[in-house]
Amino acid sequence: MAGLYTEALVSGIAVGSTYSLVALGITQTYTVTRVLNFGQAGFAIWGAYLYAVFTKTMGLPVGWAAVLAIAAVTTMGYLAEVIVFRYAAKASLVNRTILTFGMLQFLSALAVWRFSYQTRSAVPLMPEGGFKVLGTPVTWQQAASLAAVALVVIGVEGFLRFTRAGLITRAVAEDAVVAQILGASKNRSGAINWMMSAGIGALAGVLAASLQPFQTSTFLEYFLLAVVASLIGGLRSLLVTAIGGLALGVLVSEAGVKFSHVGTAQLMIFIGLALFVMLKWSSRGAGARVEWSRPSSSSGFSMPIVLATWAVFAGAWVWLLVEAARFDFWGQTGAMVFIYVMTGLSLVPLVGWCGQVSLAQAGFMGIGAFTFNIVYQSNGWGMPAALAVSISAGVGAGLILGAISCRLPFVQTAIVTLVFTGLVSQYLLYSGIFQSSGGQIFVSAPSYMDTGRSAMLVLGVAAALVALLLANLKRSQWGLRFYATRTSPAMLQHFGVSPSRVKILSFALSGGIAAFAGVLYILVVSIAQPSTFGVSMSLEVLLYGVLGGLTSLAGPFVGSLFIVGAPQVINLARFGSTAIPDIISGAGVMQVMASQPDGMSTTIRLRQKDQDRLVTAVRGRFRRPPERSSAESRELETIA
Amino acid sequence: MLELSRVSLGYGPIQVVHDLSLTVPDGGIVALLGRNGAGKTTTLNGIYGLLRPVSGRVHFDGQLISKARVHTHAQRGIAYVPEGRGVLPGLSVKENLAVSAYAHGLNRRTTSAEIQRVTEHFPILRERFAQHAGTLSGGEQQMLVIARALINRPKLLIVDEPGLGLAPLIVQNLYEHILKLNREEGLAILLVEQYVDLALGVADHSYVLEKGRVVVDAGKDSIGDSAELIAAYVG
Repeated sequence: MAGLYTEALVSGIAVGSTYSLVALGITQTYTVTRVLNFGQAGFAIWGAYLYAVFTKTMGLPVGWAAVLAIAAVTTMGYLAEVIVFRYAAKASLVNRTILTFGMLQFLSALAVWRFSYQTRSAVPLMPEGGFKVLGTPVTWQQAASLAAVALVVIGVEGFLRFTRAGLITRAVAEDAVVAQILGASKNRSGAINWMMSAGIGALAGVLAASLQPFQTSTFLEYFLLAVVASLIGGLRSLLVTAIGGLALGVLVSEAGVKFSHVGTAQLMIFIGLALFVMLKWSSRGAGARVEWSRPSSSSGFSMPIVLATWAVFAGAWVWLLVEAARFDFWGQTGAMVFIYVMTGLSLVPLVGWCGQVSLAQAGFMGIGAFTFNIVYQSNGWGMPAALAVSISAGVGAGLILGAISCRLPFVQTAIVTLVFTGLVSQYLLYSGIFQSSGGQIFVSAPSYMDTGRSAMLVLGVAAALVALLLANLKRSQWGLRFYATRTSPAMLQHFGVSPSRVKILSFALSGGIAAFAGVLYILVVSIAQPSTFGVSMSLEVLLYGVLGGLTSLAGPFVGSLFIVGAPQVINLARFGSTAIPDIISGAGVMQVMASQPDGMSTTIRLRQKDQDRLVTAVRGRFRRPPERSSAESRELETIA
Repeated sequence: MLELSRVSLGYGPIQVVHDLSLTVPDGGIVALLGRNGAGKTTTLNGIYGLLRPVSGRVHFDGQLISKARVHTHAQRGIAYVPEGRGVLPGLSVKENLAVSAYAHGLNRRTTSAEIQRVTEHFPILRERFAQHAGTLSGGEQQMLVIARALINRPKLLIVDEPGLGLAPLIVQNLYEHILKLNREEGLAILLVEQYVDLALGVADHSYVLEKGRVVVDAGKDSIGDSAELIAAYVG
């Protein structure tokens, strides 16, 4: 038994090396740009795929394959900085962080489109065999992974401490404006930093591909643990980050030996992370404003553009409804559009109004769907009661997550909500609470939802009701509190309202709506697994929402139609790939975050001066002439 | 050396500086004066490229620099000491000085020599080389940023409120250094200052801004009698 633990220790260190390398890239980018780079996982994905193609398909020697893969991804990092981040230079840090979600989505979908979803393997970088440490076998590959971490830490620290370019990089990290005044090029530093991070990510990919077969989702799981490692390092210390990654690898590996239940390590990590961030950062975020990019005062478009955009979106909705009446396929598509409308609406109060961030929506959806399965499918409760219980479960989860996140700064909230989704999909939905043997659930839809078009109708009504509820909420005192939490939490405190409480309630509301969306999702697709509600779905939901725009209720209706509906048309036109929607949404989010912080819904909004002109014209047209007093009337009559 | 022709500057729809024309001759000291909110710092930001002019042109040594990127100004020979000192607090004093040199492509040996040269004016900095810049006193931080600005032997030094938040004696000391730099090294200086007496005492020429417009444009001899100067400050 002891031998098992020692072997788990060695393999844990090897896998933990990959977490460490991804985390080192994240920390390196954060140190210089203050942006939590989710795109780092995308660089690892491309490093792994390119290395696999070079070694397996093209038969290149492993050394050359690794060098070429790392060089190619380093170039991608350079292009990401030049094409995307310089373009987004004026966006706020929060928007640039969301932009990296888009980059991750874009890079991973592009990899799926180019290399397919299938599991791949590569020729190991190191030769077979190895050596023994205290009687435990260690392969050359495992040793190389650990050595790579050590070399990267020494190399990056050495670069920053002892080179001229490193000192300039640190100066830019301290204060980019002052560094530029001194003659340092911010762009050059940015490019160097992105190239280094991408190279480190690619190295992680090459080593991961050498250790075991992989898919794109493998790296999302790695990324989940890598951001935790970065947090352990305080997003500053490279050495502590590296050690954190290795420790997490060991924890996951040892927990696999010790506990039979799936995801026990994830549970331990989530609890540990929640305690850690609450102790370390909770005093900083409560009254702090989340700096989203504000739309400029000229946000909005001229009358012809707005009319044309309205015509396009209204026409698309009418077309979808007509086609759904004729063909059930379009009914199914419409139902999926409405599910994403619902998930988008679930983000509006939390992200759009309150200014928080959430990568927990898939977790809430999973909780809603699996609760509904127990109550409705297994225990035979009626639909209204089952719905109420499922939504309550989402609200409860939202309250818990809100209580953890309410005093945290933006980046830490993003990480906590991301890990929450990982916990739900990898542990909670497999647990006895949800009674799902093997994890899979099957829910049969009621008779009034058994066709695509009837499901679309039900979901359409549900989405309209939720939108109506939120519209009323927006006009209430609570709507004002939500807005004030985003724009001026300190002022809210001044008036005796706790921003933390508002945030907790917005999480609860968001959790309830997302759980409702999860119920509707399982009713439409009938079958689901815990992994369905994983990190990639959370990313998708947030990105689709951001793309449409989350400050207005129109945003989810606009964005979901574009993202879910348009690719179906593209597929019909035989450009087909299931990765197309993700490629579009990833690229779209990058563009939107860089230039239109309020999303696509801005295109249906008149710019302010045209709004004023329109209001003046309408008032002038319909204003009644002023009533005269009786004295004035008598005077006029006398004159007459 | 530096010439601004009808420069207008603003933030979004709000225009702060209107049709400003200003000249700094070779080796001259020019003061830009005015009350808070008159547009002095905005003007300096416009000169240094931190803010793009809405209209008008900025020339330095005959070259148009209105649209040049910020970091290229230092390479052309303009050094800027922004308001609020602008030290890099997490770097040591020596690293603060070295950044400027490295950004200009100087090697380690030349950088060391330059650091020795500029700290001759401010020897106290040598005792603080290993110390984090954020831990220096206000006066020492101001010495550091001026020394740092001199590393690459600029032709023009732009200083924004060097005396801000400092004790009068330290301000006096700083001005002596600034004057010395001008006399001994022929460095042209554009100075923004709230202490009018000090600024007028060293400047060859002064401009007074009020609500973004030049209301006084006068030489050393005539500026003291200007009624507009008094009006600009007293109201």
